[in-house]
Amino acid sequence: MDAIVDLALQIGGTAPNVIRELSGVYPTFVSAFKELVSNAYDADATQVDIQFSPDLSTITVEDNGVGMTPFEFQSEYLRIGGSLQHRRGDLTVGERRPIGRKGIGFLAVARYCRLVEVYSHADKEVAFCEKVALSSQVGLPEPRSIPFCHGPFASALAPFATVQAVQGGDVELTLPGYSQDGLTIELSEETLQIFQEQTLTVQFTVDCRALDLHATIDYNYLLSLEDSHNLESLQDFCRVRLIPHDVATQPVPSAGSGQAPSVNPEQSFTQVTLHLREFVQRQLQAPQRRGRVRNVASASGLDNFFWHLSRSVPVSYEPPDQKLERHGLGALAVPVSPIPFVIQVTDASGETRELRRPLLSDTNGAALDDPALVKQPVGVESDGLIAQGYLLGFPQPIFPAELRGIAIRVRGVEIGQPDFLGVENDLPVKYRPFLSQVMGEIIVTEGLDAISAIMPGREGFYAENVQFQELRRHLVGDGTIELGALGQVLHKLREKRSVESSAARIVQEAKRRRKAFLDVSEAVTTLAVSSPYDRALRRLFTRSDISANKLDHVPEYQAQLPGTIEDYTLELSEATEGDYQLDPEQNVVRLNRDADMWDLSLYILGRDFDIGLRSGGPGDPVCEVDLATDTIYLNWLHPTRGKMGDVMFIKSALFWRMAYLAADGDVDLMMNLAHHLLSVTTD
Amino acid sequence: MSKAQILSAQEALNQTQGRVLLINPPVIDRRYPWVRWNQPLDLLKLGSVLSKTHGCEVKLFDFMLPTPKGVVPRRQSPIESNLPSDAPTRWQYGRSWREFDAYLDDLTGSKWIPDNVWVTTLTSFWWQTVPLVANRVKNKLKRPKVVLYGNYPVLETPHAAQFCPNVDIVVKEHADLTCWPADFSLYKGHKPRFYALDLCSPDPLVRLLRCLNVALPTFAFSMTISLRISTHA
Repeated sequence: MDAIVDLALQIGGTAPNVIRELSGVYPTFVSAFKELVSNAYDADATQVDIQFSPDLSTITVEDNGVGMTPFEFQSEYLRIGGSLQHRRGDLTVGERRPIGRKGIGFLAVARYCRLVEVYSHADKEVAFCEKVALSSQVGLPEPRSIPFCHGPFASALAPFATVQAVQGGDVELTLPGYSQDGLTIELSEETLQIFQEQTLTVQFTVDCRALDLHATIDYNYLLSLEDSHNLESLQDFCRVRLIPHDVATQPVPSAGSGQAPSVNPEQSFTQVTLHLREFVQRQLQAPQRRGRVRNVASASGLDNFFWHLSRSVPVSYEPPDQKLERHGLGALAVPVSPIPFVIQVTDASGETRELRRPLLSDTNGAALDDPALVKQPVGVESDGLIAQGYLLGFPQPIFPAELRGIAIRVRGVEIGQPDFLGVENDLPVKYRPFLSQVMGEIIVTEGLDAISAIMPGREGFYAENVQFQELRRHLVGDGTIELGALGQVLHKLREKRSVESSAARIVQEAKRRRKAFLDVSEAVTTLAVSSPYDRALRRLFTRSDISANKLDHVPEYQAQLPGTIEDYTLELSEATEGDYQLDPEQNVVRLNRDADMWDLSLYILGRDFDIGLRSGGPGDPVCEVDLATDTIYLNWLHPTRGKMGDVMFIKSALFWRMAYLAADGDVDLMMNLAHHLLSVTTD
Repeated sequence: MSKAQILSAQEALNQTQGRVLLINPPVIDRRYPWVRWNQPLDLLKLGSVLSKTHGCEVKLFDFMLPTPKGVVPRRQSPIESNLPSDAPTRWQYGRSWREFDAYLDDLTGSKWIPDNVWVTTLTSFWWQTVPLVANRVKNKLKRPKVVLYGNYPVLETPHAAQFCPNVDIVVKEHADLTCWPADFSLYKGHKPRFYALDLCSPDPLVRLLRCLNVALPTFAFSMTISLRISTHA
């Protein structure tokens, strides 16, 4: 074939308003764009290159999959809900489970593009079998010439068609009983007489290896048609050119800026160039929002696009498998395909990188080693459904917020957006604050078939699907009483928060008590340095003739911690970092025994006092200072402690006792000194 | 009540080992025109001596370290005055007690508990914060040995022994630190640009030149002055 052949295709079976409706199935550009990647995956591509033009007006998607013959382009790509012929049972030739089963084909990106150019080359021969009733040939000018191939490509493909066999009824014809002339069989006079009024079966092949397909689809025109327009007579929405393969490597003049693909010309390929509408271009050009950007929605348009694309196409996780296993997330280390599938993206600046699915942000990634992380493994195996993965409960809210929720991946592709499967508003109120700390990754390896379980555009699952109901029951229960794996995570998060706040309260109380004792020491020292009472105070702390005469005989107060907080045991421990540590594995809260807050000694003006807490009654003294043994006694069960609180009780008891002892009978001095001690600011 | 030992500098140094915390205490005064002069030169030199000859691990807390804007903050003084009520208000200058408490908590949190704490004062009449510093150190750091050094205990040795009951050692004379450089690495990268008074130098010019040599751009000026306690009761 020497010439380039132009063909116009028509579309039938739908009305223009239906086309417009279908083009709105994909709510965002990226959700429509992912269909192109899914097509490449289903075509057994091992590599996909996505390239943006510098002004973001076009995107080119190029893959090394099996390519499309002109017949496949017409009957599958341009057909709504088409399926690929090169599948073998449930698997592709490359033994992949196909993603697309009921896509809307070329209409997916219609809302977002003015024009699409498709280049493709399929390195294969296509076999056909046509039946021709010889009786119907009567009216032909030449009754012995039988055309066996019809359709828009018939004349263009004539040089590449080869008749393999011809049967008349059950009898196979042999040469010279017939001869081939392009897409016509010339029957001999004798053969025609034998098989008159019978059906002729012609088996022929078309060698597409010598051809490239270049098609241009005009979406502007298609979506602007009047509702009354007859699509059967539509001739010019898609222009197809069949080009000899040896010229395909040269740039081809076209309506857009399409260029010949750069893949090896001997191999099959498909290259799709999208000419974006202006609003899509503006979205992609949007700059990052000012200020602290933690959510994907606030990132730049292009980053936003890449992030969502990486979540909705079958690519491996950003953390390598070894890292996932090291963090105990080995169930996620499932290959997305039996053969490799790599997506390379080149942004407007020309920078190229591999697209991988982000699992966590840097902040949350660091929390994977945090013992406070709640990790709930999920494994479901029932009625043809096999799913595995994890729900993760983080100690802090998850950022970016787009990671919150349970992501379910089928055939490596996330279905819809991560959410809590509709139970968000039904959950008991006590659990709702913790939803922002939960995310999940579930990988479905068997079941949830695209036809019966997944909505068009993979925007969600059909609620009535039995397998989905089983998975949902396992993950979130009924959302009210039975809460499934999510309930266990939420319960643990809530329990931890409760234990932490209780432990923090115990620590704070101990610190306040200790601070009150230190304030007493500071106040006495401050007034002893320079004040009207300095001599009295210094003199008091040189004495050793004052003894306690009551509280030293009262039983010691055994300071007891609450034995448990929720399901956690409380214990004092030596090797503890910080004030306290939670051990979620053994359900223990360990308080740091060495921390200053538990110290029951006090240094005042060169003397080292022990603090003795006593279990006295209301009739016993509140406080006694024994300067003979350097011990301060406090009646810890005195009723005034309950009324005043620990801090004021400690300060008041000690200040009044010290003022009493320092004044040595001088009531005015005692009153003034006590008031001054209480008013000293030690911060 | 414990009685402070009165020792020479060399005797006090000989008793010092292990971890040492050096403290330049806050100042209580009516005004503070010393922002660029109250550098604890003696402590910085002691830091060199202790780390190089005694193998000590040394840290410094300088209450009088100016802020990055070159200001030393002031706040209400906790110390009452025996001065007449119409006398000008006295302020406490320097970093806050809260900041000091947090620093001590950090030390205990990081298990760095000093065995010795050396406290100094530039002048004898700034002695009043020494007992307060010593008291906090004793209560929060498991009773380290507190050594009082500087002009106050040298000039007013009996006073220091009597009015600072929470100090363990009162150093009655200056150590010979003339040949030792000031260890500015104790400021951990926050080395301030300021000057110091070297009050114990017998040879001002030599001292100035030596300090210029070893500690540019920080200068030490020698002043043979004797500042006496003027405000204690």
